[in-house]
Amino acid sequence: MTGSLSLEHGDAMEEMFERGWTDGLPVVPPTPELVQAMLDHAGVVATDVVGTVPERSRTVTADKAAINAVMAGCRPEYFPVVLAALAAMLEPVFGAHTVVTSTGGAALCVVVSGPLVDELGFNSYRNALGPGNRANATVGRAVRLVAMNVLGARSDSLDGSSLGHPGKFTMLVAEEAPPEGWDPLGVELGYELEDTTVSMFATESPHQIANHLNGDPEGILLTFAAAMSNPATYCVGKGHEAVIVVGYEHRRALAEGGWTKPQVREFLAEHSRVTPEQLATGGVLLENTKQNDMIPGPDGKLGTVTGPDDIHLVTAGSPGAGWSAYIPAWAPKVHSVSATRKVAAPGNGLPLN
Amino acid sequence: MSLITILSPEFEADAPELVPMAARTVPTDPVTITIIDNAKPKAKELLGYIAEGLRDRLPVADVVVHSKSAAGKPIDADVAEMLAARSHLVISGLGD
Repeated sequence: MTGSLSLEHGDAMEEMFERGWTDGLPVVPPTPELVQAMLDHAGVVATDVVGTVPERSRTVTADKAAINAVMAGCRPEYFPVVLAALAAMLEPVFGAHTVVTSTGGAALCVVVSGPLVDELGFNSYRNALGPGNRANATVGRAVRLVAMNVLGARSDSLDGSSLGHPGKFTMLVAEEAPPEGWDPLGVELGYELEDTTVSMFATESPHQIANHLNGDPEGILLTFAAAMSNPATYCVGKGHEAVIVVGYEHRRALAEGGWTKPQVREFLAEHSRVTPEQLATGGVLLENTKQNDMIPGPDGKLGTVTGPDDIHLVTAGSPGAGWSAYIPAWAPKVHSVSATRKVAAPGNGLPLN
Repeated sequence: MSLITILSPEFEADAPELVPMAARTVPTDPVTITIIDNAKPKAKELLGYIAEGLRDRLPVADVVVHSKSAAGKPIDADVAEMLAARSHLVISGLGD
């Protein structure tokens, strides 16, 4: 049974701020009519269980997901995408309990791949990681509001972030159709071309990568690898999953230069390996604990990713000078692994796989 | 002025049944202390230091260390039961 409040229309916003229901920005008042429209569009009922976080005895039900989606500003058409994101986030491998609590301050990074990017009007092109698009902004925000309001991840409660970052308000990457010869992320993960998938990553903020003058594919990839090898990044040398948003000029240079996505991943996995001396030049000491046992391999280096498949290449962004972005996981894979769900068609209920 | 009804976005559940705290007693027989090393840097050392400090206050027979694979991973229920069965006192919980 969902609790409700009846109050003067003009008082609703202040009441929601007062109760700590928002992320600090105004929200849309979640009226029963707006919430029901969300549920109806997706074909779910209020009590459907999207997922659970057993460590804190919390269950995310469809009505709570819908209420938070309304508050975030979502249109009903976006709600199946929100449900897929939440279902992925609540898979045990993702480790939501830790992700939304850690001092590291992880974003709940949503990556949307497939036909719904265009059909629902996500922005995958100019300013793809920036503001100005309702779908991008509100779907990511809905996921964060669920973490705050349902899982209890608030600054005065179970969110222990030391700093956090702006991506914790909302963070969504919509995939632009990749160049010829490159598969979309969802297809690489085993789904069909006509499927739209949502992948969830627990991440730091995006680190912008600039390479404006070098059109040589290998030169571009060495710049990517340099970004991945930065000693100041927590996961360097520890084995994590990385998202690389491959910008317009860079993806064209790579694809037209004959580089396949597997070849790019292989190159980056190898060239982002670091020596203890590289880390020492940045003042970083090796961690030797059960969770992060930083023992160099036979080549004297430590893997920043555990293998090429841990590098997820997502194409987005418009023509410019030559920009991409490196989005490292907030922690190594021992803590959290990305999870993916296919978006269910409208009226078809919860996303099942 | 018009009234508006809004729904709560928060998790709602019946209040859990209250469980009384275990009796606070000072043991006289030798006790086993288990430390749960949560795999954070220096966790084992710090918790071990606390356990050793308890030797001045309790008749400590043994200090056992259980190391988790990662800080964010919960202990399985059967492991928790095993730790409870073999220990008189368990020290867990450590942030950065």
